[in-house]
Amino acid sequence: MKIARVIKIDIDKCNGCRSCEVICSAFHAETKYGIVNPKRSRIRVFLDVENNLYVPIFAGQFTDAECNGRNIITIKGKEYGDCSFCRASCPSRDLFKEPDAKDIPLKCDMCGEPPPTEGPLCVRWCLEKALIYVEKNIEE
Amino acid sequence: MNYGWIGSNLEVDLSRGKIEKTEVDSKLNQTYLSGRGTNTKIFWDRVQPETPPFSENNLLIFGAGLLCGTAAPGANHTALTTKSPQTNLQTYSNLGGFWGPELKHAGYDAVIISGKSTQPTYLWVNDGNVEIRDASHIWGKDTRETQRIIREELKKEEIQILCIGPAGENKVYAASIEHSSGVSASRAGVGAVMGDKRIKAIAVYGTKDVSIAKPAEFIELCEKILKKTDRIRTFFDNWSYESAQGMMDQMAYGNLGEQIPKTNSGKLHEDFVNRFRVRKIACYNCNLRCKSAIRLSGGEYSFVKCQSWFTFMFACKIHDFEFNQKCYNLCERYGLDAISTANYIAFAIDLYEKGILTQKDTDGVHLEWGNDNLAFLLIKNIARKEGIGAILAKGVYEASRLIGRGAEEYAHHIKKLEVVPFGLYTPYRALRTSITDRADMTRAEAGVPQHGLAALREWKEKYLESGFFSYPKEFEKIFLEDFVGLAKDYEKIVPFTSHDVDKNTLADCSGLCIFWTGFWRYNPINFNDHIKLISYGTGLELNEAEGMAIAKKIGTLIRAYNVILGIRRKDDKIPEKYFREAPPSPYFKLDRNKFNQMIDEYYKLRGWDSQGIPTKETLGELSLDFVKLELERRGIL
Repeated sequence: MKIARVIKIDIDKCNGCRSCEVICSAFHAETKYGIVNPKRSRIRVFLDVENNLYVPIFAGQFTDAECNGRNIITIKGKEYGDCSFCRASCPSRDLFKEPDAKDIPLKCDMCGEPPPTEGPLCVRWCLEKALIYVEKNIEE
Repeated sequence: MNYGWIGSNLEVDLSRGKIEKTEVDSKLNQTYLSGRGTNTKIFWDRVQPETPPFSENNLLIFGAGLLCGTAAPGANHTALTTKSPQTNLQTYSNLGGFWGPELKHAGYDAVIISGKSTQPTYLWVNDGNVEIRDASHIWGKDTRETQRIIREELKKEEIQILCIGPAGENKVYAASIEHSSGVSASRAGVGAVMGDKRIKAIAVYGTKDVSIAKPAEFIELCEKILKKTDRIRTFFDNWSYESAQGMMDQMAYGNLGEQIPKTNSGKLHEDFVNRFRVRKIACYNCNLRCKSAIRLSGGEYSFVKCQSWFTFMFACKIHDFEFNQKCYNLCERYGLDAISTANYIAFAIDLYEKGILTQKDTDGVHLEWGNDNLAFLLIKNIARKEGIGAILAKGVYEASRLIGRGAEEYAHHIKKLEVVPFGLYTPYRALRTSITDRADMTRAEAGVPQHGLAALREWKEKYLESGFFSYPKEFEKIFLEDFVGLAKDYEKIVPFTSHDVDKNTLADCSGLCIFWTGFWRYNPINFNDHIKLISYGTGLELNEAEGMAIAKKIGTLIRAYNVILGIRRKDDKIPEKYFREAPPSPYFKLDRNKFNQMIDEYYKLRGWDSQGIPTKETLGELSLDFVKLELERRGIL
C-alpha cells in the first residue's frame, strides 16, 4: 500500500484572495514564517476577474527547455496562452523561481514529508475550501 | 534590519521629473506607525494649510498599511492623504485590494507625489527601477482599458495598478482612484488631485521580502484569528438578506427625500444573491470576501461592495438591481465615486422638479425620476463635464452656489461633501457623520453601537463571554445597562464612538480592513490582537493604551490642521432637515438639545474645547507641542 497525497482544487470556489501564496512563502522561508513574499510561493493564483476566472496553480516540475509550439485555450470565449495555467518552472518565464536566484526552481512539496497533520499550509489557510487535501491509499 | 516596515519611501516630483528613494526616520515610524499615521505627519510638515488643492505644492500620499505584505489576515489597505478640492480640508481615502502589499514588496512604505506634470504621465515602479512614463496614449481611456493597456505595455500580468478615469482627468470632485475588482479610493476628490497632477496611473510590481520580528508568535496569532471568522463569513454569505433589508428601509429616497417605500425589496435581494451574483470575491489575504462579482445580462462582469448595490436605485427611484449595477459599472469605468455621483444626479433632478433648473440649464434634457437612460447620460456628463455635468462636477455645495435661485437649500452636504444618505435621523449615525473629518460614517463606525447596544440583556451577556467585545473593561457596565434604542438613546453611544474613531484610525495605520477590526459585531481581530499583530510584526513593544494614544494623536493632528482651515463646531453637524422633519415610524426627528449634548460629550472625550479645538492640555499630553505652537502662532489657541 502506498499513500497518494492530493490537493483538490475547486476553481469555482476560489475568491482570489491569495492567502495560499502568502502562507506558502512564509512557511518555506529560511526562518520559518520570518518573511512573506508571494513571488517565492509554490502556489500562484491566476486571476482574470473580467472573465470570472480564478485558478490556483501549484508549482510542478522544473524543465530546462521551453515547449515546442504553444497551445491556445479558449475559456468562456476568451483566448489564453497555455503558459497561464502551466505548472512548470521553465526558462520562458519568471514564475516558480526564487526571484533573487532565478536558477533555483520552486516546487510544491506539500509542506514536507509527511505533510503537517492539518494538511499543507495553503489548504489550512483556504477558508473557502477551494483547496482540499486528500490522502488516498493506492495499491502498488 | 526593518521588520514590518520597509524603511523607504518613494518621492516623485512631477514638476521636475525627479524620482528619489528616501530613508524613513525610524522615530517617525514608531510615533505614527504607517499608512494614515505617517501620511498625516508628512502632510503637516510639508503642506501649508493655505495650499490650494490644485497646486504643485499639494501632496498626494499613498501610504501602505504597516502590516501590508505580512501574513496578517485582512492587511491590505493603503491610505491616501491629500488636500481635498471639494472640502478644501486635509482628507483621506482608503483602498484595499492588492496594491499596498505589492508596494511593500517593491521596497517602499509609501509613495509621495508632489508637483505637477505638463504632459500626461504614469508611474512604473518595478522594484528598484522607477520610471515616469508617457501616458498620452491612455489619457481619456476608462479605468479598465487603462489597466489593460498598461499590463500589455509592461508585459506583466501581475502588476498592481491604481488609475484615474476621464472624471479624474477632468478634475471632477467626485473622481475616484480605481484599482481592481470593486476596489477604489473614492471620496473627497482624491482622483481629481491625481488628474490635476496629470498622473494617470501608478503601476507596481515587487519581488522583495517583507520581514516579521517574531515569526512564530505572529503566525500563531494569525491562525487564532482565522478560527474566529465563521460568523462574519456567514454574514457575508447571507449578505444581503441579513443586513441589507434593514439598511434599505433607512435609505433616503431621491435627493435625501422621503424614506424608501417598501415595495419590491424581496425581489431586489433575490436578484442580487441568486440571479446576478456569480462569486464572492476578496482583497489580498482576506477571506471575508465582502465584494461580489456580478454578471450583467450582456455577459460583462462587474463588481460591487457594501451598500453601493442600491445607492443609485434610491437616488434615481428605479427599483431594479441591474440598473444600479450598470450605474456602478459606469462609475468604475469613468473613475467616479458612486455615493457622490448618485447624490449629484438626485440633486439635479430635485432642482429641475422644483423649477430651479430648467431645460435652458440642461441643454434641453428633461430631468425626471425613474428614467434609467437619463441616469446613464448624467453619469457620462458629470465625468466629461458636459452639459449640466459641468456644474454638477463641482459637488452639490459649489454647484448650488453657481446655480443660485434657492438651490442652496437642496444641496445636502457636510463640510461640503455629499453624505451617505442612510438613516441620519438616528442619533448614532448623526453623531458619527457629523464629527468625522470627511462626511462619512465609516471612520467612526462599529458594530457594537450599531447593532449591539439595543440587543437584549441575555444576548449582551453571552456576547461579553464570546470574547468579541473589543472595548476597555469599564465599557462592559455601560454596555449591559438598558438601552432605549438606536432611535432615542443619545448619551450612551458617545464613549463607544470616541473609542471607535481611534480604533478605526489605528486600522488605517496598520492597513487592516475595518471589517476585521470593528465594523461588525463579530470581528475576528479584537483590539488587543490588533496591537499584538503590530508588536509581533515590528518588534515594537506596544500596549493597548499606547496604541490608543498613537491613534488619538493622529486624529488630533488632522483635526488641528483642519481647525487652522476654519473647521469649528458649526461644521460638525448634519443637514438641518433632520431636526425639522420627522422620518416615518418607528424613527423620530432628532432632538437638537440632545444632539448638542452629544457633541459636547464627544469633544470632552477628545480633549477639545466647546468649539472643537484641541486644548493646550490635550496637545501637551499627546506630545503635539509643535501643533500647540502653530495654533498659538496663528492666534487660535
